[in-house]
Amino acid sequence: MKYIKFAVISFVLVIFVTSCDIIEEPYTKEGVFVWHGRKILIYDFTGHKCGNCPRAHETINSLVNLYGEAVVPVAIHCTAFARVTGTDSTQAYYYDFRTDIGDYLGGRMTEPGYYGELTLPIGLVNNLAKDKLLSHTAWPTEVAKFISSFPEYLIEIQPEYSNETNIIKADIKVKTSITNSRKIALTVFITEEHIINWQTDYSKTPKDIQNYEHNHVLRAGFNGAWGEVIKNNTNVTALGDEYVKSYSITKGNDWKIQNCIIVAFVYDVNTYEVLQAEIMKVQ
Amino acid sequence: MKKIFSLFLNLIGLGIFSLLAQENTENNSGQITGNFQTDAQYYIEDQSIGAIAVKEYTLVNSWANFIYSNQNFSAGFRYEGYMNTLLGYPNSGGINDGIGIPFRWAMFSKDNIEITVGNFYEQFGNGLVLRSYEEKMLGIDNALDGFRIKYQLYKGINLTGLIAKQRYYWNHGPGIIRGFDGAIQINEVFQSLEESSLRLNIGGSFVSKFQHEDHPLYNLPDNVAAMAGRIMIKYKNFDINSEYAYKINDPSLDNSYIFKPGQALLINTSYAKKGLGIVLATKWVDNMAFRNDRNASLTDLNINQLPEITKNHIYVLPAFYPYATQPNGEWGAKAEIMYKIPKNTLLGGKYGTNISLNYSRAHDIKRTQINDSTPVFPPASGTYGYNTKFFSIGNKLYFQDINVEISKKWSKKVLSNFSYVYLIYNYDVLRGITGHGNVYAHIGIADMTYKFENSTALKTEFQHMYTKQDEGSWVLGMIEYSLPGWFFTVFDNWNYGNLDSKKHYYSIGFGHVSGGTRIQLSYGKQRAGVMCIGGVCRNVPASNGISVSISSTF
Repeated sequence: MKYIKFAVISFVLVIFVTSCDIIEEPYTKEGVFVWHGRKILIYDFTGHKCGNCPRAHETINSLVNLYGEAVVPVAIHCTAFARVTGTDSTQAYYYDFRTDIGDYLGGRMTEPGYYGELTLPIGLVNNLAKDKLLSHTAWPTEVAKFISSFPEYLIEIQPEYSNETNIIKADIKVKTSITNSRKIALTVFITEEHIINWQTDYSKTPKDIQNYEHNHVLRAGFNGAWGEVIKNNTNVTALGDEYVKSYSITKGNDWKIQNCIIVAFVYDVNTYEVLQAEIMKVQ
Repeated sequence: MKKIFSLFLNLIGLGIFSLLAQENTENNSGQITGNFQTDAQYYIEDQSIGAIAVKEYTLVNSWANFIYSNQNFSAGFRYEGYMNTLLGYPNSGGINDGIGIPFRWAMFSKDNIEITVGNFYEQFGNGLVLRSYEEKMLGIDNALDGFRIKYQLYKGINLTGLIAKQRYYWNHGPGIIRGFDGAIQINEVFQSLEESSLRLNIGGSFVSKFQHEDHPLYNLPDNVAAMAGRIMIKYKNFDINSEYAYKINDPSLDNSYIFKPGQALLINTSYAKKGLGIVLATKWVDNMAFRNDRNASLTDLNINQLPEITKNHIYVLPAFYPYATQPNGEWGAKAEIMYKIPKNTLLGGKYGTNISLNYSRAHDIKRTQINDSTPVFPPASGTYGYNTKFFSIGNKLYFQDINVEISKKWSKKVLSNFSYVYLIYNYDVLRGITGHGNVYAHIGIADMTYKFENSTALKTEFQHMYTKQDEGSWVLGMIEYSLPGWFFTVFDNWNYGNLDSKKHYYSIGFGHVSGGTRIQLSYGKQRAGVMCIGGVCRNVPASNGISVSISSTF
């Protein structure tokens, strides 16, 4: 009887001790991506006279379809491909998408910008360094590198617009979510969606498309092309530390306010890596 | 009646156990005991306090237990009805509404073995890895439903094994719980230590939960195990009770699907002699939520319970801000001294004076990043989560309670109880919101009772809470007159410090007690808040209406 008791108890213990599954890394299943809230900024250097640029726009659309709000595109019209034919609105390519920031970064006509002579379409994915320019075909791979990482900062945008003064205000709060010791800058742009105007598309016949929908179009910067350094040292930034900034800008006469979006992003001043981006509709 | 009930037990299909009962009844008809309770409320809409009316006008929670015992056999069931469930009780989507017999069981013991089939409650040690219990005030019933065997292996050595599903309102949770516990009372095992002043008990538990892994993103464990070891040492007036628990990776909704194992340590010490009691306690908890369903939340399907060490206040105003256990991580400590100033002294007076001083504090634990690219908070799903050192204490204060209570009998007719409570309550953490900040509350309480010669008594309570936060300051007055078998109560709770609206929450009621039966009827308004028992809480909505409560035992 004593042995039976011992055997039964041993059996029970063996059953129990083996009833646990310790999981080792990787904790994520193969072939799936997990988004932790990090938003990926894409600079799309483009131009309405650029016949291959719609391919880059399609790449952005496919990334937005795949990753949704995790992708934050900014279409920067620049170089000679952004030239206009005149001011007569009955003519094709009369509309001027160019901005001071676009001219500075991408160049105006034949004058190169900060990134040198660009062959459009070309862009930057989550890093603003000169040597990070990528063809649009490489953007999905680059986005995939960042998409499952964690945002080091969270950005809150509080927009405000006055019909009377035409002033757009943006209160930005940057909150540390991962302790780090980076020197960081905050850049705030305004973009516009659903601008219907001319675009060259070499894949179409005729190649000049009159009612092309231009999205994510850079309209202006609240604080310049490189924004404002909001932490000018490499001291440790602790979880929860906040940086609060307020900016304002006057709305352009041809902007539709209901389609305007404030884009804010934080990047590392030394590495140019974009650490987090955020968008918010003005209205 | 008893024979009819015995027959009923057979009819409801208790199988072999009922047959055993029938066999026994030939020699002994056994005994039937039970109890009944119903709580009903008629709801009146009152926009001034945010109270809503309900379509049913009246909601009723009722239940009755029936237990048949006959020598080494017992069986029973509980009939419950929620038609429909009183507001504030867990009832998401009407899941708790209905009637039926969710709790039925049979048990027999023979030789050194006790077997239970059906529903049962069980607790291993302090409950760090398993506590199945019922608390009607919170609407909690996480009863187990399966098989349990208790076996005395040797004098002083007791083993418990169980396998069960867990009650989830009118159904079962998806997991299967397997548990084993061993308890050894050293002084009973060794005859030579039977009379020793040093008493030593040790024990160990192992609980495993099986839930099929079906998450689209993460490689989750099907089987999650938790284990605990405990020790109780008693030497003369000293007593130490401690338990350590460990849980393997258990990604869940509670911990945002991180894979870090959990740990908990509980230490309770006490010293007691005539007129003096000292209690010191501490606990440290890291990622120890343990549920039958990894996607469950609130008070649903808890397998374990992490006991609180803060004081459970019985007076209304200090109970406005009760501590809720934080299973994702907390450190807590408590010190309590109870002293009776001897009678016939200057301060003790003719009957002596009882003084109780209590201090408790709870903090977050200290967490660090697992690497440079993974945040600590909010927890990074699909990762290890964070690192922490055992028994580390974070800077964030969750709760603090300093209170002193002096109770004195002035004469055969006059009794008093005076209290002062100072609370710091981290509203954001303990209520799960953001942007509210801490509540700092000073509370004074005067409780006086005068006993008349004809067995009647008049009890008065005056409570005042001063705070600048939340809803501001409150004052409460209560009068209760009792006479044999009856009591009458009236009170008003005035939120005079509320800058938005200085609301009154008044109530009037009476009750009758006769034998094992108690009936209470009241009308009044109730403030929205939180109710906690043992660190487990539920939200209480604002209400205005008539309440009836009837309870009876037989």
